[in-house]
Amino acid sequence: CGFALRGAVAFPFQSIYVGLPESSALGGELKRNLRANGKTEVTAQATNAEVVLDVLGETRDKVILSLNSQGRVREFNLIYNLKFRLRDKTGREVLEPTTISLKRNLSFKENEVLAKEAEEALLYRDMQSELVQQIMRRLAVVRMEAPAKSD
Amino acid sequence: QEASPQQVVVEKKPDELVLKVDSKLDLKNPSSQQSTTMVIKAEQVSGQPDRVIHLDHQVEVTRGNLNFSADKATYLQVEDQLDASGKVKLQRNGDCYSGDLMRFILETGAGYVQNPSYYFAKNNGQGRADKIEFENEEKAKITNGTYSTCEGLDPDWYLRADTMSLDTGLDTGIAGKSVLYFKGVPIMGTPSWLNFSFPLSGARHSGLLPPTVGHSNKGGVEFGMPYYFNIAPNRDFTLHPKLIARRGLQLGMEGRYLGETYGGETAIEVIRDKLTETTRYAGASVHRQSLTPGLVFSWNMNKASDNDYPADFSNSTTKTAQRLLVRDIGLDYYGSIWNASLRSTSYQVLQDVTAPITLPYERLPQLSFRAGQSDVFGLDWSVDASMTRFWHPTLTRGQRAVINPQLSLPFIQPAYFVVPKVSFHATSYQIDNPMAGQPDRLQRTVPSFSVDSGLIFERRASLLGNKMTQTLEPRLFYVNTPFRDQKDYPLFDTALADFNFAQIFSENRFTGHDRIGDSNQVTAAVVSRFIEDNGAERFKFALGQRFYFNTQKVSLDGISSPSRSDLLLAGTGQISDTLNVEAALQVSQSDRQSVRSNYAVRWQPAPKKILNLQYQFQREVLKQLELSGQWPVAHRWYVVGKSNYSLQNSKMVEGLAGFEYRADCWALRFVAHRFATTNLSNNSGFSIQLELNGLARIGFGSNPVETLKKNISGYQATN
Amino acid sequence: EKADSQKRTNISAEYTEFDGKTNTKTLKGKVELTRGTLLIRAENGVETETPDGGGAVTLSGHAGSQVFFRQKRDGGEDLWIEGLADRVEYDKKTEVVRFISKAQVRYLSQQKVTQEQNGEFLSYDSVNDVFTATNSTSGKRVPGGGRVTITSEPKGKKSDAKPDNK
Repeated sequence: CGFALRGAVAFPFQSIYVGLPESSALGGELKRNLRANGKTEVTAQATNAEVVLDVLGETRDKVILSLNSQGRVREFNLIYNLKFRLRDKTGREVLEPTTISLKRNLSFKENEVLAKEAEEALLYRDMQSELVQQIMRRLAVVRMEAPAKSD
Repeated sequence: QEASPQQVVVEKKPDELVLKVDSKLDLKNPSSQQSTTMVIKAEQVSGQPDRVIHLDHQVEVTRGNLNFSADKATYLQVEDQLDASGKVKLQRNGDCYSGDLMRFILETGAGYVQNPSYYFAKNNGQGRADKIEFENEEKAKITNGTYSTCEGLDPDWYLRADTMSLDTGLDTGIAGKSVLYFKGVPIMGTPSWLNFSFPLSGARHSGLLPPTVGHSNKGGVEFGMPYYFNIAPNRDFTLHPKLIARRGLQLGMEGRYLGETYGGETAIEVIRDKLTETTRYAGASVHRQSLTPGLVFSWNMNKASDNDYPADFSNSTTKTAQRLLVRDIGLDYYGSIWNASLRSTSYQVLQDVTAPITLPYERLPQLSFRAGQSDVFGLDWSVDASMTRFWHPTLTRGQRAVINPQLSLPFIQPAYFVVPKVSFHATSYQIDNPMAGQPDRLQRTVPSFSVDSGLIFERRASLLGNKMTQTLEPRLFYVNTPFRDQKDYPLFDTALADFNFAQIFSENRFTGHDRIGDSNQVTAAVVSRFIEDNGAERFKFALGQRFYFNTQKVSLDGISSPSRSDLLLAGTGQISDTLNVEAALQVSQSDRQSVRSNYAVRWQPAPKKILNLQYQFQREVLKQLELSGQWPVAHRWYVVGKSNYSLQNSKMVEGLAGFEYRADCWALRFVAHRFATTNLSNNSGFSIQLELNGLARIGFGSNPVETLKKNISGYQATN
Repeated sequence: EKADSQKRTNISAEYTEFDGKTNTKTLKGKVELTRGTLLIRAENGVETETPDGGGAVTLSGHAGSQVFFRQKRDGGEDLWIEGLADRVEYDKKTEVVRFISKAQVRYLSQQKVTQEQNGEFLSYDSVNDVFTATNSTSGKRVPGGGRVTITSEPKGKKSDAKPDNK
């Protein structure tokens, strides 16, 4: 039915700088995945990187999804939004500001609040991994050369 | 090297209220009047060169950013003074003053205009008055004048004040004794001692926030008049006094601050409640500060004076639906390959007699440590450790130490991945008050082995008419964890995790560290994504199930698990750029009935035009249909609504309806709400808010626009 | 300047013609009228004499060249007035100069133009240092008949002018 094993994923750039602080878990996982295919170098400084990934906004939100008949929260929506863009050394936007928004559903009972804290962290880590995969897919199809100048 | 913009957003707020860290004042360059040439035009001119010029008919004088026109004028060269009369009009930087008689010193910008009408370009402010006196280029004083941001001769609302001083430099207008008219009816008056200030431009500025009038079944008529103090670009303070008919004056305060390395927000409400004859209050404080680049100190404190406070005083479910108020304070250190945190966390329970809640354990303190590295000689290692003192007034108390090292050997290729992992879970308990005959020390070590593997297939496919890449990602996850008898181990922070796609690929079916589920199981799943050529994920379908090769002995409620777990199905998709669909279903294999399901459809044909339909089902917990939306029904009219109907006990659990009328210079919002606060009681009421553009800007806190935003996903404020 | 009042007015031209009956003198070709610091140059002119010693001189240019006027002014050091117009009328008794049609008058202080007037009719009374301007050559204001324009430079410029030795 036409399916074939996925071929090698080559990024159209050799080196990239990820604009996330050292302490950011998302930054750590993204850098690890970028290095995984061995051909892309993640630089420590933006100056010597071919492209720079600017994170314009990373927000986590917890919104009430449903209440039970006593008006108590029974389901939350955990939302993880990331807005980022990619620009080359000259500052030209290679990938214009893009927002990826993920959502996970977390059930809630007052008696399990401590356990639910741990589960919330698990769900955010899961969204973080999916976010990394989606960023990687966007970076793989970025067009590096400037668009043909239409005079 | 242009670092990412240093702007710490303390909490999601309407954009214009975001605090900015940079507090440098941009110096306005004083446009000196003398250095520019002056051009005078008139049908008839006479005078003495270098001394005086008399101008008659069609007079027009321009110099720098000043432009005058009048029927008649006299210009005194030495004093640089222009006296004009007859249809006088002065334009400066877009602002415009017209009147019958004017004197103006061009050099200093001082002067006056008799019975002027004026227009300020910055925020469309305009009005008429008996006299306007210019002190200099920025300051002006208006006597017996009106001010409004509505266009036209008879504005929908205007403020009449005997004195008004405007300062375009500080962007403030201050009115003395004034009366606010709305549609010709005086709706508010301020005494002369309370000077009433309003912003002259859209920028963040101290001043009145839109007053709200409302009613609730818990307190009767309410009248709120918040006031906003813009202390600095990175500090502000809001006062929410609210008069509640049956309960008295509630004083609410909210302070926000933001610095290079810290930020926080504290809100307090206090009232001497006439109904209960007690002082009732609620407080919430969030603070986050990085002491050094890696070390962050933070707290999140919440307190309410009594169990019913939120139910009696809040008009939104975001406050009343949560019966547990967290009190957490901690220190986190983020190293490059490891991080640690020392926290102390406890909860205040807002008890509800009809459905009592057990007090959660207090962790005073919890020291946790996490380290990990990937690709060290091809291996990934990580260690998770924590030491916690669990305290509870009645249940078993004790200290628990956990260490959980993990080692994995990932083989990751674009087309497949195989990740064998070995982990070891060692726990030791020290119980302070063991029940009779129970040991006060318990140890447990549980090894665990797992293999995660998957293939990734791709093909070109087209769906709904556009070309996409479709992936097919089968995945197998095998876990083997031996059984350990844990029935007399305490239950501090463990519960059965939700059964979802994140959980079915984790080793332990319980969350927390008190129970390590024995398992000899394999989880099979397949995911198919449709990815557009720009890399955006347009559709995603997933199917997963877990197969048990043993009957699980570790359980919380004694039910032994069937040989096959529930079946998990999920699908999300952007059918078109206006229609978005989501579905998640968990089907039990024993009775083929759904255990849990969520379906959601969102239709958003245009900004500010949105309709959400959602169905949520949790067996024996809830079965609800929710319809919510925001729709422009007529020119300037927006209808907003949400209804959360419980099919289980066929009653509306939460309802919210309202409308917004947006005129060009004011907006009226009406929101009625009704939601349950306990089994027997509910909180219902309505609130009306009048927003006069430019006079009182939308603030935050308990105004209806804020509740709309939280309750209707996708809602956009219409101003 | 006032001192010009005491000076004699003399007029020269390539060709002059005198009509005794009407007591008018017609001048043609490089007409030049001087009186102290006052100087007017034109292509041709007509001078009339009145018994009380008054009289007026009307000067006009021909296609392409306008009448030129120049005089020193009181009330300051090195103040001058210059003017151009299709036709200039000079009243010897009142010493009022009228510039008619496409008139332009410039007031100078130390060779710097401090004010420039453009209009259909401009006049300058050097005795009282008074000027007028209207939008029609008749000297009477015509409603809606266009406007006089006066451009004046900011007066603060004096300090930076180089003190050239006079």
